Amino acid sequence: MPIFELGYRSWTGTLRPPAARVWAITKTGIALAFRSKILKRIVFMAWMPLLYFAPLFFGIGYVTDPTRDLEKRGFLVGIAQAFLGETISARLVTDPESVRPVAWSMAYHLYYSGFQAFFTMLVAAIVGPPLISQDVRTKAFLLYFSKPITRVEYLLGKSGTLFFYLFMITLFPGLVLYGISIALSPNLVAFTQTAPMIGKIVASSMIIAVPTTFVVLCFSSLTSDGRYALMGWFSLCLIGETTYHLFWRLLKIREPWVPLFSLRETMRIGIERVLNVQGQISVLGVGKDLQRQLESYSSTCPPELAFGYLAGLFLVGLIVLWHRISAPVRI
Amino acid sequence: MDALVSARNLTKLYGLVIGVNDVTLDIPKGVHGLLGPNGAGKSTLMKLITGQLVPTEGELQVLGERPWNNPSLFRRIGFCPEQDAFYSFLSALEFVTVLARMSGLSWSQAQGRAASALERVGATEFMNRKIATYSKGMRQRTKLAQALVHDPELLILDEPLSGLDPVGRREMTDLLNALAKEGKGILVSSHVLHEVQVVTKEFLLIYAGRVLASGNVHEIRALMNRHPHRITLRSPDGRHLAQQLVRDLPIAGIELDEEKGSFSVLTRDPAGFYDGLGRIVLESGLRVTEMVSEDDNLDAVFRYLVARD
Amino acid sequence: MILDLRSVTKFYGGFKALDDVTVAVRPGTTGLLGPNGAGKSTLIKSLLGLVRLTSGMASVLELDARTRSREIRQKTGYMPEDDCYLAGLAGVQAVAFSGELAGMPPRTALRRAHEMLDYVGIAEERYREVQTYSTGMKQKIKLAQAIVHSPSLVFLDEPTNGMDPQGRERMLRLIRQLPEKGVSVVVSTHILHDVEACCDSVLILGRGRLLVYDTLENLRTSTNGSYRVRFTGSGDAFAKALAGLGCPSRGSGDGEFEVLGAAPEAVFRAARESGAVIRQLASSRTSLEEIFLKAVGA
Repeated sequence: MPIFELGYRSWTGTLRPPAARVWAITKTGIALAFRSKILKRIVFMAWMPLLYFAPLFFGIGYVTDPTRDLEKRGFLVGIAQAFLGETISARLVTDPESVRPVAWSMAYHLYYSGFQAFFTMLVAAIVGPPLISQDVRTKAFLLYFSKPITRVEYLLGKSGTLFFYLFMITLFPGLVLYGISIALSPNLVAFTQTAPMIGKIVASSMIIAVPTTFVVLCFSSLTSDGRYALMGWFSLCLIGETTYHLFWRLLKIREPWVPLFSLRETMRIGIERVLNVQGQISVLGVGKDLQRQLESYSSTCPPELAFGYLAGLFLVGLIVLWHRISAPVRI
Repeated sequence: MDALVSARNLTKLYGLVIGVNDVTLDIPKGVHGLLGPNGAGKSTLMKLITGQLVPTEGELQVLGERPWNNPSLFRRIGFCPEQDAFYSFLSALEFVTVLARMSGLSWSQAQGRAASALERVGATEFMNRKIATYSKGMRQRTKLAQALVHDPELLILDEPLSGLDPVGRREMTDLLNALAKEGKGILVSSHVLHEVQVVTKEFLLIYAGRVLASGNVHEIRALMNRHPHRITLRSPDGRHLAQQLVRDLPIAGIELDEEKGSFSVLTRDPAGFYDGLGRIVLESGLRVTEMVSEDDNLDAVFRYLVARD
Repeated sequence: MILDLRSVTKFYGGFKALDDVTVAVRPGTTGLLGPNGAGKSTLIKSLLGLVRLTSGMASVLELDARTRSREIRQKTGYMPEDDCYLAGLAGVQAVAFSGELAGMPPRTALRRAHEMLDYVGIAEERYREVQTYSTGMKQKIKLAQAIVHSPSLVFLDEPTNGMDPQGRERMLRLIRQLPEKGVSVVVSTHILHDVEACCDSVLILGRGRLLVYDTLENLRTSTNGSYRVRFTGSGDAFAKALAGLGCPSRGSGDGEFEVLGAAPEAVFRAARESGAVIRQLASSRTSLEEIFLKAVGA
């Protein structure tokens, strides 16, 4: 047998397509971010709301099941009725098929805009800032861009990391919730009736994830110190939220552009439009509590403006990002 | 105050980590090279000498005084660190002027001396621009200028030639030679051994926080007879000459390289070998067209001393 | 030809970084030299497709740098001068990741990363994060990530930067082995000694212009019949003895003479006469430093 020496040897083989390279960047980012204990805890906490919503859906399903004995109203039914209000709860008993969609829409509206939007801010704050700023600080971009990848692939890879974690707390739990509710429903009619819900869950998750990702990455690309990006993101969220409440509650200024201060509120308006809660409630006729409920979902800001603002954030973030990573690579 | 630096049982510990370990040395006047692998304790030693660290144990005297907590000593020492440490919004001229002031020069003198120090290092062309715009070589020259500006008796230079192109390196070695002739004490630490050899033949080798060897490179090499010297000869009378040498001279081993038409001898007595070689060449009429010892230089000394057996 | 440049010019605003450079670089190890600001990094950047040339044509491994930049970066490796690393990753992870970026399947990349780390000489440290590495190890990692995807040409920018003499020697040895395995190397450095140790050709740039491109062999021509002699003993007596034998001599350093137009016997004879002992005798060849300084007109 001839002797093989231990020195350098070359390699030839089939190369993977560009998508595999994007995935390499994404999965490395995911693994690195996952080391953070805080992140693990927050993602865990972000699934806790399911402890309320799963019973809620269960309760709705229980009430709409004609075979169930409503005398055995339990805890679950109580939750459902408390959430839906008098009129809708009553309707749910008499004519469940017509009310199930609106009940679910209301539930998802609360889930996304009330809970997950908050967790999104936290998760984005932990995962996002170092993604690009660290590459600037450690000059890793020299290593990236001397390899056969394009700027688009780099961006897709980096945003993939953040999208992954954001979907972990928006899309995936939303789908799990949907699965649970279908499983707990009495018959398959529920599924055919609410199948469009899947699309709405995806859309709501995108409304939350896309602007967040690109704004945070944009901040991350503007600095070599992740903490500045973190501060930028928190400022945008918290100062915006405070300003919104200042205008809306204290000063009672309610022009259409006021809700735009709050990123959360803007997203809520978009999500509400997707879920169309107002539309569905209004066809249910009149009722004292219905009027109150309608108001709680409404806003002076038209959905088109909200979508436009979010799209604007996405575009501006993307343009700044692109410009920053195209800066002449200083070798 | 004969020695530049004088240490007795000098030890520095950073918590658990050892910087220098019971070092006793005397560095006399003149130019000296400070050598050692990374992490051997060179920078610790330099920081102790320039008063940035206090010894954990032992005594250290620089120019006759203790460097720690002794700002007046710093007027007599100039230090050029390896890392960059600048106020990038200043220009080189402003920066060196400020440092000149801190070294004790008066306002009236400071700027003038700064300008001439910058001229000496070849930085006049760009000295009015902001340091943030400088290339590596320009920063290096600025660092050297601030070490020289107050005309110190002792210069401590850590990798003074890094970042400089070959032209700059030549200029700086010339400058160091000129400074040495002026009678300044210079301690140069560098990894590029053949460059340090141009400036001085006296060395201090540090390894694992201890002094491994100090003195003239040839003396050190001569002392290291555990490693025989390797001398390569080229001759058209190859084998014949080799035979003659083995017969008559103190040779420990011989290697023939037919391909290159040369052979290498190993000897523990280089002086005896060279002496005898001249005689043999003239008496036997055998020719020598080339004789080189790659071994009698700093790289080899360094390698042998640092190699673990 | 591994590099083919024709009238390559690059303007940064009003500043001419590269000025009508035309050269065809042969396979092997080429040293890229030049004063600061001569255009070395601009040249490398444009060959890697990171900077667009103002005019002229450049091809790397027969691929046009303007249009096929991605393929070029597939077939070339780059070892930057700057301190750069992928934070948070262990050594072997970082190198494997570089391989994956170049399109290697993940397990192959990992396997090959280990191989490259063996080659550059990183043992158990490969499981530690790269930011904990010493300077020498960081340099080795940079080299490993540059060759993991088996390129045909690597650009090394100051490869021995900050390394101690042992590390430097090891790095030069690694560089010398690459051409034997079919990898051409371009080494950009200020340390002429390194170039002499590992390169067979030299490319010198100055003010954006090509000053010299030739093999070291050709450049360092022997000055006929001239010898560089190192000795111990009295310099004056030795010089006189040499003169007496018709060999003028010139001091070129302490204990060192340059003897013109002599045969070695004469040198030994003069030494015996004057009581000097010859320690070194070699044909006088121009050193790379002299070639460089002459080329840039210093």
